[in-house]
Amino acid sequence: MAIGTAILRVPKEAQKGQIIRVQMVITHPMASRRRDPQTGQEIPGHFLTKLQLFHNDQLVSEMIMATGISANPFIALPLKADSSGVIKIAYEDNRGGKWEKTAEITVK
Amino acid sequence: MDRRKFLLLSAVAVAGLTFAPAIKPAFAASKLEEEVKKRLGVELNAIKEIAEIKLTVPTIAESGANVPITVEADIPVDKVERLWIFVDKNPTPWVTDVKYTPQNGQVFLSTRIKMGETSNVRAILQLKDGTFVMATKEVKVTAGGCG
Amino acid sequence: MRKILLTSAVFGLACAGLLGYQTVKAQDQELSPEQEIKLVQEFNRMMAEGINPGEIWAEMGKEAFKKYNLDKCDFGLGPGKVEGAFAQLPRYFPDAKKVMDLETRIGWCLQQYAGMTPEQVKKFVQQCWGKSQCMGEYDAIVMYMSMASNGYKVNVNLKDPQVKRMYEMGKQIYYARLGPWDFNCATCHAGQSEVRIRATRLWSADRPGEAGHAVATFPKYLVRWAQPMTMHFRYSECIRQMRWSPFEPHSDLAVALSTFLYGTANGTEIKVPSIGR
Repeated sequence: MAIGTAILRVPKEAQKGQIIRVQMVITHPMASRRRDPQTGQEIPGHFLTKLQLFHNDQLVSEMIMATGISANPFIALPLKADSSGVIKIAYEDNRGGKWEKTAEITVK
Repeated sequence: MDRRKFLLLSAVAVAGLTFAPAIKPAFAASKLEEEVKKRLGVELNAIKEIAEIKLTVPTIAESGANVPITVEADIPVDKVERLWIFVDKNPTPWVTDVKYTPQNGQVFLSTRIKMGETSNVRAILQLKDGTFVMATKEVKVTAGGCG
Repeated sequence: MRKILLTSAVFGLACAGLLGYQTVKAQDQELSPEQEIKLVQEFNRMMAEGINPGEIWAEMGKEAFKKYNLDKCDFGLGPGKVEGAFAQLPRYFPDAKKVMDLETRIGWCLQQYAGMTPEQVKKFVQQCWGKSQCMGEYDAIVMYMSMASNGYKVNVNLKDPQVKRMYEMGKQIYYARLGPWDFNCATCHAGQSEVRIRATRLWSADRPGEAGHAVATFPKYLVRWAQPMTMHFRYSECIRQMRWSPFEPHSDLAVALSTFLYGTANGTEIKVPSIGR
């Protein structure tokens, strides 16, 4: 199990029009560029760059980030629940890593 | 030169040396101001502080590696373009920005940021009408103990 | 002459005023130790909101548990029964003829069912010690099993004579002054008066509820290492810092300390993981 694994938590159900919290934790070192103390070689940073929130394939929100965000970051964003379906997060890092995670929600 | 002129010049010099440290920062644009100008296209001192942005950060952080931050705004989300988070004294003051759409329902963000030292944290809202508003709070970053 | 005196006086007053203002400004940034502790506790409370990154390890642990055949292992409630198992540990195991805590039992079962030698177990246990952002399977298994007792109350059976014996031994070790510095756990974690290390207030075994709160929430996710810390690693670090002889994971020393600590914690609700510096 590695970098990019995420926990995505949304309420299972919501009332129509209710604003819910989409909560997540993403495994990622969010490391800044640094120098290897033994070899003096520069190690490029490794960090998430973008996170997108989708509801039924419609882009709701986009978060741009870099090394100012903590390692294994917790992120929570709001979503107005207006229809049942799939909530998706799609995120990528500066080394070509690309991941997605989905969760279902029922809206009454 | 005569004694009068010498005394006057000395007084001016002493005053100058005392005031200089206070004045210096105002002349050099801080890294924060440069970042804000670069990314937002406005001057930091043109951005007004408003109470409608609720910025929640701890007063003290035992570790700068993982500082909780929550932003909630009492402004309708359809009026808001982006939320920007800056930490004045970080090597790169810009931390993150979030684009909102009406589908978000409200302006809200909760996450964890890194802080290198005691500094102000700023939540700046970019509104669709082109204006900017913000909330600022200071977080003291101290050293924790073992464990 | 008068003009010069006047000008100098004005400048002098202005300088004094500025210096005075700067001193006052610096003073209102000082916090009393009590204020500082309260604010640090508020910081810890805020950090605990949302989702604890340690839960990622629990998900890993569920897979690793099966991978290493631990579903054959009896943790006291029957083979493979994980829910509530951590809550009744440490306990006496007739098959091993020893009292064992969670980590020791995992180590024992890794030898029985995953074919590991004691050396391999030790390596497995220590794979993430001293590292950061290390996704270790052992830490994951411990996290998975500990979280499976969330909501249960710590329930160590102190009526069992073997367990009681380990409890008493653990208590002795806790308060025994050892090593080149005459340190013990109680040096930092006992007594009624407040002990602090910089901005962190330490829990005390002598103040009711505090030991329970500390151990019933381990493993603890540490932000400075971006990974969880299990009890045995915690023992290892404390023991290293006290300059005692190097700690062996899963040793009788560890079990004795665990029995004392979890025995003291009886009745505390388990809420794993916690998060801290």
